Amino acid sequence: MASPDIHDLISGYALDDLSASEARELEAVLARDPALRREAEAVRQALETLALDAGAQAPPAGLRGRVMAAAEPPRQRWRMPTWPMLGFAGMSTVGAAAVAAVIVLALRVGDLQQTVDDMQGELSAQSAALVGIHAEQPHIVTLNGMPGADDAWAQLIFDDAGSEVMLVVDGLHAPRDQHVYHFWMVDESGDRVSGANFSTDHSGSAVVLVVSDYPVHVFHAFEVTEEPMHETPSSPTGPAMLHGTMPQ
Amino acid sequence: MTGDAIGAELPGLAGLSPGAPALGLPSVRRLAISPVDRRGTLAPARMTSERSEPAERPDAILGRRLVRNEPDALGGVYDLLSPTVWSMARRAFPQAVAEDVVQDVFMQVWTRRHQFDESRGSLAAWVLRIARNRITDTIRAASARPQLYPYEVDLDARQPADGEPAPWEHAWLAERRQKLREAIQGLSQTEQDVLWLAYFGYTQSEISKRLDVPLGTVKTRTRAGLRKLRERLGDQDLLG
Repeated sequence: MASPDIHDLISGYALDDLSASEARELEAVLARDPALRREAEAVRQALETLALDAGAQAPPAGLRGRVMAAAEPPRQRWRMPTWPMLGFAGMSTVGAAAVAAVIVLALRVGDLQQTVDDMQGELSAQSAALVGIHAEQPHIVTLNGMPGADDAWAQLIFDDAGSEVMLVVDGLHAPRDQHVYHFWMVDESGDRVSGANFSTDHSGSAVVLVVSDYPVHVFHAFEVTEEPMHETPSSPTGPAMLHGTMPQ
Repeated sequence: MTGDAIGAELPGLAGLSPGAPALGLPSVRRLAISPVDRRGTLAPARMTSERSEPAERPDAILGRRLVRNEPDALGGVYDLLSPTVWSMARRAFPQAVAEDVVQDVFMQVWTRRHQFDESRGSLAAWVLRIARNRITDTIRAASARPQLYPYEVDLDARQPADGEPAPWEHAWLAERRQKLREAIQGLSQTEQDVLWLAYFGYTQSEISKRLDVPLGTVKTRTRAGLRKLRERLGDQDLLG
């Protein structure tokens, strides 16, 4: 049976109002008493229910439309890169045919029909968008290979708006059978926002355009992990193969 | 998402209508789960008196649809929870700011939908937690520039959810709101006020200044109020 003091600490815990010593004291107690830990969560849940005390006013009529319009599902799109303008060392000789081959190989991943549909409908628009990126000074973030992909390298290219990010990958071996690579954007609290699935071709290259609902500038880091194919991961299931941080 | 599809996942939904004939079993006054129209939105709440099989909660259905990336799922979540999120935002912000906050909350719901885990809590709890955090962050950011953005939670603007639910509110949520209201009525006004401010991230010192109450008293009343609320809610996890 818990003492009243412990219940007082639990209330403080739910309110994020414990001193360091109080928090240690409570954690020690909760570690020994699962029932009390459940009680602590119940108190926290009780506080959460206060949202309902706000009432239920009707939101403005036009707000629903704004939300729906802004919530276009993230898409993975492909576009024709023009390497010399972006200044990628070692890629200046890559011609349109070779790039097209990369794109075709990348199409082995994921929902083929959807990707083909996306390509057919958006290729010309994406070319125009890429010109837009080139027209301004692009921001570039480098992702370095991690253990298991030491030779890999990638760069993110985006403009001031940051709603479209081009991910250019090189030297990353093809994913294992029934797996794909997944691009993540990491916010300041460490939460990962799903970006896009992609694969690499036999030379370890891929070009992916990720459309982000948030300006990419708000994220602090970026990662690529290997994930099972045909599953939509909510968080990485394996270690990062590529990792980079946003310059301050 | 279509209304038909939601109805198919709500056993006992079909046939619920005011004044439906009794089945010879004890009649229970309850709030009916609202039907879903063909646009996939949730229809207004209504009161009815009848017996039916327990229906699956609407946010559970919507949560699965959201994770499955179904195109109308976000609209359903918005229809269910936006009156609450909007009311929360309007407690602290003028209309234009509240609109941006609400839009951002539902954008977060959409972009982070893959992070929603039904086994760790309900969709309603998840969405309202996002709303709380977003509102708290905005208040915090504004407090750094109070000369420009004098936002603060308006304690007097809360509207008790007594009586019939608003016509735009889903019955399932209205029922829970009413239960919360009944639980809160056992708390003193000061206990309610300090809890409400703490909920939106005010520190105990800020609450003390805001209410002109000694810090020790704030701490005592906040913790006591929360303890009372927990006791009065008992095993009811209204958002769980």
